[in-house]
Amino acid sequence: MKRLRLLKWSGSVLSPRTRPDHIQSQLYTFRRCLATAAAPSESFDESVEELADAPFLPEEILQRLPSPPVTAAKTSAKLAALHARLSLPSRLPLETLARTLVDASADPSIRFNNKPFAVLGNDLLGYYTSEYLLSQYPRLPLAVVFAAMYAYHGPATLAAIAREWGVEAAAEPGGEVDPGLLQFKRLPPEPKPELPHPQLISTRQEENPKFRRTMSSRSVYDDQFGEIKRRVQGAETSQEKGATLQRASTDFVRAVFGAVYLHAGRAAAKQFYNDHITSRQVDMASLFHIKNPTRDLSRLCAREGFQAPVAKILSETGRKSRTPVFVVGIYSGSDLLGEGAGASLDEARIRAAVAAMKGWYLYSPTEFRLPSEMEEPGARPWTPILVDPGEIAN
Amino acid sequence: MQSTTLLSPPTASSRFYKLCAQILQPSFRRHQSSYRRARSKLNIKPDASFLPSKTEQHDHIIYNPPPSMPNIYHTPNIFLPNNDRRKVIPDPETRQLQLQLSHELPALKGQREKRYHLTEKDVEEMRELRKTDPTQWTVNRLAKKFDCSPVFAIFVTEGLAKEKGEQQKLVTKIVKSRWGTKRREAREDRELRKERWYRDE
Repeated sequence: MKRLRLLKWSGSVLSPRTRPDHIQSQLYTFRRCLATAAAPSESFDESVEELADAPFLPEEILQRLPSPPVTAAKTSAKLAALHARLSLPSRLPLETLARTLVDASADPSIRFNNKPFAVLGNDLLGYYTSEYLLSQYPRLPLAVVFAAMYAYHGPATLAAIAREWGVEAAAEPGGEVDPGLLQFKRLPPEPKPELPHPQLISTRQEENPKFRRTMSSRSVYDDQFGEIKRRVQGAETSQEKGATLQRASTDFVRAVFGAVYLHAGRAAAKQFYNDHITSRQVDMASLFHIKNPTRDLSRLCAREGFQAPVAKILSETGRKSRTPVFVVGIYSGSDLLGEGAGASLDEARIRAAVAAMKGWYLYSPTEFRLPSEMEEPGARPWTPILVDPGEIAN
Repeated sequence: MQSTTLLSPPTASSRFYKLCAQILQPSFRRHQSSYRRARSKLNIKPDASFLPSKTEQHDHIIYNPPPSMPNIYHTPNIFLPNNDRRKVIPDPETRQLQLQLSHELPALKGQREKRYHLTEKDVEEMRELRKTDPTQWTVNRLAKKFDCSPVFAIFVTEGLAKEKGEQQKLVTKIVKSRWGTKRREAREDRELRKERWYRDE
């Protein structure tokens, strides 16, 4: 297995000079070059150095900055408390933690906002979650994998994590704000939502419902949650307009993951991921919605070479009363595949078939290894995990 | 209340219900005189598993769980891959016993083995009939004539009578438009309840 040298590539993220920045005025650019600086820049103004060395800047300079100066990180109690509360590794400096709290809508310069960290953190989260899901439940259908990914590190979950970490949002970004607050420009309130059916409650909003997207097209073209990728242009205009609290908190949590990876290494990032994401419980059985359970089950039995499934009544009560209860089991030969109870024979049978399909899909091996374990030095030789022939075609 | 439990010894609750049916005459009035009688009659012996054990000398744990649905995360034995440690391959005697037990259970009606008895010609005829007179030859009638399941008839004659389908949709729409609030809500509730079957929650 070839290792990716991510740490080498990410040098540009950590170094202060990635590209010339015309938006910022010269003075502040030079002064703020110290942000999480790994290498000192050559052309350094002495007067600015004096300014930067002082822990407190004059008020009028601060008010003209889009985000707090780097020197303020050391003086912020909130930031130190957050660092201690998350028990972040000591190799992660407070200045970087301050940078992860600056959203792209507050400071458009990628040298001072959390965008590069968030991109890396998002990829890391997707990698760790997907390998965990695929190793633990090797038979999951793709739609359930997407839903589980969304449940583990989707925007709603990450926003909840930021809230649990005790991160508060600043009312307005600026240089004079405490760097321990999440800084983003708020989206102006819209007069009316543009949704066609505002009363319809759904978690996902289809951008173009007429365009047919299959599961395979989702896995190839779409993002890690099976949703259409946002266009770059649209993202830029929305950045100028502002961001919602959820979006800003999501990017912040992703950026923290990226920063831990860059500063403390792979093992610390994995540990941080286990502590904050894997420890959250997701009820996988509740993510299923099987459209044709009986048909799928008979197809599954035919594919795997089992006997054709037969629904049998295990027990019943009150057949001729107003509230009957039937318990139906589905048998393949002598093996019970699933069991369901319902107020009618149809209901019990469908529930039993759904339970049987869930029993198949939710198989979990007793011990499994994750592909990322191989990145550690001195790892045991790789033993292949179970690879399923695939879900039942719909 | 009627209770039939197959294949397992009668549980405490089923015995309780039977006893109730025997001793409690259906009466519409409760009197002071009958209250004590009913109460003493219902004071029955608990289930054997709750009585002090004769074999165990010391304190011990009584395992008598209430009946409940099996855990969904316990994969059925047949679904486990062959290299899984949990897979149990039963000996022939046990397998025979299990097979016998499963054969004794009554199967649900309407499940037939696939017969594959229709030929290409039959299918062609089926299509012809559906095309010529879709009102006369409905899916159910075709299924009855050719002795197959309606699902098969639907597969065969799919898209042959489009006007008929549209007409039927119109009829349904007119019928639904005459529904009042109560009926509409009841139907919608039923749909919602039915959707939960497919998630098994």
